[in-house]
Amino acid sequence: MIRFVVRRLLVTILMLFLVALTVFMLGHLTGDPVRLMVPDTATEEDIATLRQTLGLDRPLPIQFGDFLIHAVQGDLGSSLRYRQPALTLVIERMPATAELSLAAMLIALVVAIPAGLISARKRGSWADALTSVISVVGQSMPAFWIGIMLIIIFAVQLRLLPATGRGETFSLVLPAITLGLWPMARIARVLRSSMLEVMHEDYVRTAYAKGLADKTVLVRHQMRNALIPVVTVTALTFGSILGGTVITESVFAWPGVGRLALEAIYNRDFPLMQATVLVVASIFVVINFILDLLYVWLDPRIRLR
Amino acid sequence: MTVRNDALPARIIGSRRGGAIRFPLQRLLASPAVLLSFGAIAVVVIAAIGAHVLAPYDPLAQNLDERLGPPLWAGGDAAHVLGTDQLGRDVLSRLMYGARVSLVIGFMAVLVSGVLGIGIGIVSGFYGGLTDEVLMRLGDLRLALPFVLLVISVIAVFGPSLTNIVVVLGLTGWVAYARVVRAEVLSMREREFIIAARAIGATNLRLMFRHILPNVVASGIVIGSLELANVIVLEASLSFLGLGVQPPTPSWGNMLGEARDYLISNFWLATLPGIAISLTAISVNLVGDWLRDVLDPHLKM
Repeated sequence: MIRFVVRRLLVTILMLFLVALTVFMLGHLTGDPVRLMVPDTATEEDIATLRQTLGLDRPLPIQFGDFLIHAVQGDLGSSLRYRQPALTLVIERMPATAELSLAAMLIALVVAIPAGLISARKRGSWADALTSVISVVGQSMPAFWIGIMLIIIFAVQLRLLPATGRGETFSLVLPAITLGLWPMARIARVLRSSMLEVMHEDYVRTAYAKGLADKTVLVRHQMRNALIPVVTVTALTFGSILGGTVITESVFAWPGVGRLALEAIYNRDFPLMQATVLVVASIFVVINFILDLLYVWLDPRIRLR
Repeated sequence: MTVRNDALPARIIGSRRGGAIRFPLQRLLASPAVLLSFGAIAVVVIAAIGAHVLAPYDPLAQNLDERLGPPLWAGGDAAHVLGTDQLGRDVLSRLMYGARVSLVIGFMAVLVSGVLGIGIGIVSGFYGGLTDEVLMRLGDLRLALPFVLLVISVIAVFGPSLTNIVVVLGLTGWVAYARVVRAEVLSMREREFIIAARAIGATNLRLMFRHILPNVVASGIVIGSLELANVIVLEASLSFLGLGVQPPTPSWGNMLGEARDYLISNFWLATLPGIAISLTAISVNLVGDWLRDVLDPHLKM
């Protein structure tokens, strides 16, 4: 077990390093990050000065080393627009994004797990058909449109819920549903098919044969195995949720990291953009590490592979 | 989608050789959802290809006297069946030209990522070892980066344009193909026909192109058809955020983005492009599911 944890930990650190490299390279893809930051009216002299101030006239590997050392110390540079440390800005916005993503994931799981279980166990029923329809539709409809439709129906027409912003009671409801619909669809679909697979396994028949109650077989034998692929999708969709916050937060004017990233892009605030991508990607990598450990707890066979 | 297939007896799904042609056709006719999807896709394709002939108006022609006209059924006039936008442009015409943008970007991006992904999958599975390790870790890295955020930051760096969107979506979408193809190649590598081909002196390149590639193309097509829906939605999202297709060129995404300011005065403006995107994506997904059942019932996505 310890060997497994150490190995996963090393992989996680390698991933974090590669994430940092990718984020660093983002700015150098076009060759000159300075040109991304300045307005079109800047003179050559301005550009040269800024380049020197930011240390961008040095060789790339040295710049990356510098970037990495600073990043490890929690220094991701300063936002050009807000003139504040980029990391501080990202951290300030983090609670809003965390609140939104967790609420979305919660909604997704609360709906998807019963839906997946029921549709697998009562295959061909209307509940099954409904789950299938909703999961295709939920996976196909763009989140930003769902968000806008929810605003039209619940905020503009019915005046039931606040359309945008954060802080009012219930202002979390619409954005969380919007963001949660996609993972909901995926998780329900995966759970249904993995349940169907597990239901016909020998060990399930044995469990029934030795007289276990239906509920015990379901919880101890079927779900424990059927949930493994669900953990995988949950982990993967969590990444897309974190990315999806960019769109959802933009639709609902939710003051989170996603909107910060978008603002940074619109304002050509490159250090801030780098910081948001780096922080979000690192969180995702760490979540994946935790979920890897969760797998092993769920299914000790995985450790041996 | 899966209801239908699971409802079929296992022997039908299992018998690929015997009924490869008859059963899918039967299944197609037996499934109204798939038929409807094909119909919807046909409508979108015809609208896209024939936009310059079929569209009633120039999608860019403004008429400020007729701004924000509602669709016909909501009290609008028959000249603009789906109404007009904030600049008095005909919504129907813009939707038709928008279909062109969505389909072109969708197909091109899927083509790029499909070719790249299948190539990487074959190389990775065929050579194994360090090559495999490096390529698959690259795939993990791509999956570890929040996708939408990654794409918009790359677009922000390079600037939004049709080519850039295709390149970015194409270059980032390869992992799904590579993983599936790699797994297939791994199981194929030790099969008799590969060993036999090797024994008569086929080079690695020949093995990969002539013997392995034809056997993984089916999976590639299935993944591609499902990815197409994702790419269409993703392009719409980018354009919605102002990082995709730039106005005045109409795309479903930027039409929706512009309509955001008129949710109270004319909500149809935001509703119609969304319906277009959703119906297209749902249809493509259903057809993709159907294709998977026909071509490769055992494919795990």
